[in-house]
Amino acid sequence: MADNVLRVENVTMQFGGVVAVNNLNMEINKGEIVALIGPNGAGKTTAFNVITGVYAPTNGQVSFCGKTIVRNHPQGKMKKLYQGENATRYTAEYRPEGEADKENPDPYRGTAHVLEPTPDKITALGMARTFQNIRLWKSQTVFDNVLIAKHLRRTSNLFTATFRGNKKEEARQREEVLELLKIVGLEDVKDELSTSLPYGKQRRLEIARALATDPKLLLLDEPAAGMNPQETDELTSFIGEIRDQFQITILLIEHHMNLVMDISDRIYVLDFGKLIASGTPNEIQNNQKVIDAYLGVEEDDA
Amino acid sequence: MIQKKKSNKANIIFILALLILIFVLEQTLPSSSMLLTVVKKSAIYALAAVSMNLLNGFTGLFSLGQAGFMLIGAYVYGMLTIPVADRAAVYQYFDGGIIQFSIVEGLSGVLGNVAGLILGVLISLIIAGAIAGLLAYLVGLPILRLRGDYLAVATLGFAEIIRAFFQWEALGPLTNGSNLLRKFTCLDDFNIVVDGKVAVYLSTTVLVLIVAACILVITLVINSTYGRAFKAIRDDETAAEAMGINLAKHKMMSFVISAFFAGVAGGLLAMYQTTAQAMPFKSAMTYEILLIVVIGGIGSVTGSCLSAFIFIGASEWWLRFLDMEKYNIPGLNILRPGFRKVVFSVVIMIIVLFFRKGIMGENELNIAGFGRWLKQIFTKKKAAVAAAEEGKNNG
Repeated sequence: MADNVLRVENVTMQFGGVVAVNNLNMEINKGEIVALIGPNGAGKTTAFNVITGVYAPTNGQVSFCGKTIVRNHPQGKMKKLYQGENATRYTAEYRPEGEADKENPDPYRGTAHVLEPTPDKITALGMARTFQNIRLWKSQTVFDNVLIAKHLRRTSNLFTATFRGNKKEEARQREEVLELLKIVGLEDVKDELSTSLPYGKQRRLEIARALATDPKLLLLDEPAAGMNPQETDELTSFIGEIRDQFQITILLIEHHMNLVMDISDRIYVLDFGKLIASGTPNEIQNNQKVIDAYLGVEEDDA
Repeated sequence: MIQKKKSNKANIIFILALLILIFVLEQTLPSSSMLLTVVKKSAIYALAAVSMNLLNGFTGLFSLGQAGFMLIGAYVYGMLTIPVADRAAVYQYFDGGIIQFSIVEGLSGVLGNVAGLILGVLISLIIAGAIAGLLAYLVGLPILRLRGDYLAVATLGFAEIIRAFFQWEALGPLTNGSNLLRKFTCLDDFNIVVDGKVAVYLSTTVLVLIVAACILVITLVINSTYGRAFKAIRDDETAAEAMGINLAKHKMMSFVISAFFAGVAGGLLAMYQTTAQAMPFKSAMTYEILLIVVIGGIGSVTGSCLSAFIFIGASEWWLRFLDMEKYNIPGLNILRPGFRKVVFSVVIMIIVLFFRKGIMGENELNIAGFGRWLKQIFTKKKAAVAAAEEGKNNG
């Protein structure tokens, strides 16, 4: 598919003997808002961290806009410990059987290619994230928080930046930051310390900071955590607005079901690291497996 | 923005006035004056402290290798500027050493004495810094992966190894082993001499000018987009990396820049002391610089400069009387050699206790802001007095 933005294939993340994410497959298309939900400890944030390069997955591959960005197979000690599926799918020795794989040729087939880029490289490709527990730069103002995120798209080097050879770029960046702050409604507090903002605005600022890196895909890790219903409603419309305005694709993790059902085009549900369901909000709401995962199943013999 | 420009102007005028004041003082005071000594030494320490602040305060990397980089700077500077004729005397145990040129002399031959001196010293200082920076790069490759205390221990160890290394006899032809390097171009060579008498004293002014230029460059780095990235790394590494800042690259940049200016400071220290030897560049020197940084405020350039002056002034000059038994009050014989250090330690403890964030915190001294602050205090007092009087009238 041409407008595929993110494809997660057979991703397994195992910490020691614990399988946090088990053979996850996901696909996100351009302009979609996709939610990743699941009970606590289901492996949602781990999946996020694999996609953004914080962790190298134990097995599997992630591609972004058709380009493979993360790829790994069980190596070293993990070879023995590995409990997931498709253990040989991404190794050098792997030869596919049947015709099905010919349609989707794997450029790394037959090579032991392992891709473990650091998060900054992935962000440079056009993928920006926010954090579950807000991680703003505490000693910096609102304006500077967003301005620092612009550092990624600089053209100046250390020398030109020091001796102010980049005045034009600097001025342009400052204008862009101001524009961005206007859009997200933080213009009036731009000179305040980031940590002095109320909680809801700090969330907004984190999103603005991520937007400043010019992403194609925005990953939001529990954007409504700790928000009251009114703030959640505001956030819901805000996420829709930025999708339309910046023409980006959004993947979000969230526990507030109102928000998820309101804005998601599609939903993936994780439980104990495994994907148990995917589909439109309507399908998910009526999915027995999902209901069981959230409410628990009654055991027959008590 | 307009206000910022205005306050910048005020600061520039203030710094120029300071330079002129130093120049005038240098002409009027005797050259052995304690004030000039303190100004010179504190200028050098200010540069070392600001370079350490760039790393420890602005990038959040706790490094204790400053003395090591200063030592490299001092030695490289010395080795490059000893006149050829004096090399036999300096390297007397090593057949005159293996370097047989002096940058200052070489350039003087081509450009004339004045231009040769200025350019030669500047180039030698830059090379001194560059070699310190190069070593920082090589050392940084493995140790910048460490965090917090581990990095501090690794850099401290590096500085001690460097100190031992430079005293190694096998390196004698280059470093003169454990003997002094001397006779290189020093600050007094900048004084203008007419008929065997000094006509214009320039040693302090030149030193302060070089230090000011270096600190200006560091300030420019801190306020550039790279400096902002450093601060982001200090505040939250994970977030910085997620926003596309390459941690390894930026940490290395900060480490190398810091080492470069520490090297320059080392070269200047050699110029000031007129000799260079590995012995005094102990970890105690790093701790002195660290103290200056902490007292001035971690993350404040002007704080480091201010506290360098206070620190050096107090330890070299103002507290001297505590060491002299002749100032003792009869019957209370507490003043004796070494007592100065006791009082000094107590003063530092008090400062650290009551100014947790140092004198300046993370703020910068700003002349216009200082004026506004004074005005505010004054008007507040007036307002308070007025309010009190009103209260009286009402009561």
